[in-house]
Amino acid sequence: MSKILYSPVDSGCGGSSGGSSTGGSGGNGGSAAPAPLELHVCAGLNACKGHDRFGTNQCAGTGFCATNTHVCHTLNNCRGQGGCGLYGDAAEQCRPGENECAFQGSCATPIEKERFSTQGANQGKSVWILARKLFEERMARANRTVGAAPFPDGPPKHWLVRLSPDFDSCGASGDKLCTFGYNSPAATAQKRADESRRTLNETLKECDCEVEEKEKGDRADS
Amino acid sequence: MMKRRLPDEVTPANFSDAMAQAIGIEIATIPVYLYGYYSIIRTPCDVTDEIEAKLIAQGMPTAQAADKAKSMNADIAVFSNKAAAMVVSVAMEEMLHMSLSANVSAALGYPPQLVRQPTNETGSPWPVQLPGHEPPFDISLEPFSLDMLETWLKIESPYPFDKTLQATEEAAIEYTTIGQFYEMIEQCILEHYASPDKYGDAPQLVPNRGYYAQNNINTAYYNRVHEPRFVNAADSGDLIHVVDCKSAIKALQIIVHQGEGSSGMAAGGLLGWLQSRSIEAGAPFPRDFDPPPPAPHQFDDPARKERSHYDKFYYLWWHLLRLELDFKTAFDDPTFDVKQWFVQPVAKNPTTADYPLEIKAVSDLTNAVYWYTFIMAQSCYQSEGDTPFEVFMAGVHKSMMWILGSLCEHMVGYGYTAADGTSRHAAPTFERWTFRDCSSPKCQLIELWQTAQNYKGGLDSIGARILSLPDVSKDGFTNPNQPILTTQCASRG
Repeated sequence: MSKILYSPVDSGCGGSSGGSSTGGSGGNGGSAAPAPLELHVCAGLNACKGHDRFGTNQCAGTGFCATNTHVCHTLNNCRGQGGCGLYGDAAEQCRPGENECAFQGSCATPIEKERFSTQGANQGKSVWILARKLFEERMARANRTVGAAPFPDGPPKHWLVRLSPDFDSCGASGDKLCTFGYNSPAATAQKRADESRRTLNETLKECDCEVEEKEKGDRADS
Repeated sequence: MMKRRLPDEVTPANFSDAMAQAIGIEIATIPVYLYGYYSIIRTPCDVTDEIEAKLIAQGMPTAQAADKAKSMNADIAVFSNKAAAMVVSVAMEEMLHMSLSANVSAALGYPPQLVRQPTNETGSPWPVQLPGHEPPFDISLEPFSLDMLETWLKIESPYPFDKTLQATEEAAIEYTTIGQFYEMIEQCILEHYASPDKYGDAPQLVPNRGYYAQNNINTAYYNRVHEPRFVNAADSGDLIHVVDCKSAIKALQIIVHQGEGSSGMAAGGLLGWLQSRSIEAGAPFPRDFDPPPPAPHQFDDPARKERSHYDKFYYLWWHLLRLELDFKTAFDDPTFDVKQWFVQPVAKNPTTADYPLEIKAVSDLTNAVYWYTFIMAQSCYQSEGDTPFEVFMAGVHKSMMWILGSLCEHMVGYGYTAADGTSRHAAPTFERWTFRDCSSPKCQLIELWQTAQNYKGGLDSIGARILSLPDVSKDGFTNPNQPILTTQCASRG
């Protein structure tokens, strides 16, 4: 049986590895980004044409990259800039990209495909897929047409690292895209995305309950 | 030397002392567990090749050695990350326990005191002893090891151990287990604080504000096929807004259950289970082993998914013992220490004075940040409106995770040569820090950061985060007429 080696430096089981980029489609990683017209948390979560990091996307929901970046929980400056998934309580982690205010964001942006929630109804499942669904619902409420996201399950880490070599979504437990020799990292990430999509409706219902419970509790204590 | 003894019970006469002691017990454990946590290398280097070479040197065929080396390397990778996740999960819950005790104290009209002076006036406070615990035992800052875990098992033990009373001058309420101590407090509450009019509306850290979450990315680890697993359970406990006797008791019972288990503990349940499966010491460790359901009462939550602190430490102790034995056996070397591959070579009870100048500057900053966190937390109990939320989220939370956490990670990466010639890595010393009266603590943190940055460098992002901290007055919590938040450092923030 062949030995599958992993290297904390090369394949990135360490927490802050730069990783290796194996190319990806789309995006204009080489040119300087224009001043952002909208601060949004990730690829596929932009509200308008021309609002992605490169200013080139044609439509809402088709943008290639976040225009806002911050490294972790409570470090966001404004409403709607929280990435979510790795820190924050159950209700916070149910609303990626929808935090109410400054320093109420749940986690880093942009949100890579491999990121999973750590608490609440979406625990262990894809943050991006939940964020995208919430984005689609927001756009629907605003009577907006939304195009397909450039990456159907969110931008993979290797693509984000190509744009920003120091990308790291924080946390000390190590690279989410990794192996100890007994799995394929890409397959594990895809399995998580597939499972997240399969159970998304159930997650949304449970998330509604989490958020409602928190709001009720907060009103009782006020 | 005669011991000044108090009755072993909690009464209204000594209730405020008891709550202060309870808060002190929880605070005492936080740096202990954090030190152990930061000593673990969560994502150790791949040592498959080294292991394989040693196995081949033992005469193992190459193909077999390759497979076994991969497996043993995975054992280290999974265990180190899981151990760290479990340890930090306990540290987080101790912070919750501190807040729960503080909430009870605040509700009953006794403002909680989170900012403490250490027992020694100068120098390092370490080792310390749990105030009031009988028998007393030393608790040190030490790297992850069986010895360390055995001390931690004493801290969390639901069972009294050898009562060798020693004479001290400490005027603390005596207890033999933390659970017993909280039981005394609960009894006092039931007897003397049952009436609703005993409970006021002093500020507390309340639930549903995002102050506490049972899990985060640091309580996650990956199993052998790199799927995430989470150490804490959502139903194990949260902050409680203490408004009456029932909520006060609930708050204290969360502390006991999370520490010792839901109803006293059957020690060694895990070991007994494995022995019943005829898994003998020295036998190959099952590769797909997942912790078996422990004996009853070793969980602390209703859904029986989260181990108590005692059981987490027992689990780690038992598995570390097995891991060490497995490697010694595989290499036929009784002196081999597998921990060299996933535990930093940090000292026991280090002090800032032990470090070279450039590390001293970072150590000073780390200690100052640690103490400032308690000043900010204290202020949450003495301010109204939205101030506690703002101070907690923009201050305490950020400080613990993104400043103190980052500084501790930096420190364990700094190598130095100790006075005895040993090569070591630095570590947070959790020594006393006294802020001067001439300026606000935040201003002094900025100065300390500038010094550390000048000496050591690489702390840019930490500086930015310190600048964004709330500027809490050192006097704000001792003088009720003094505002909690100052603007002394506004021009720099």
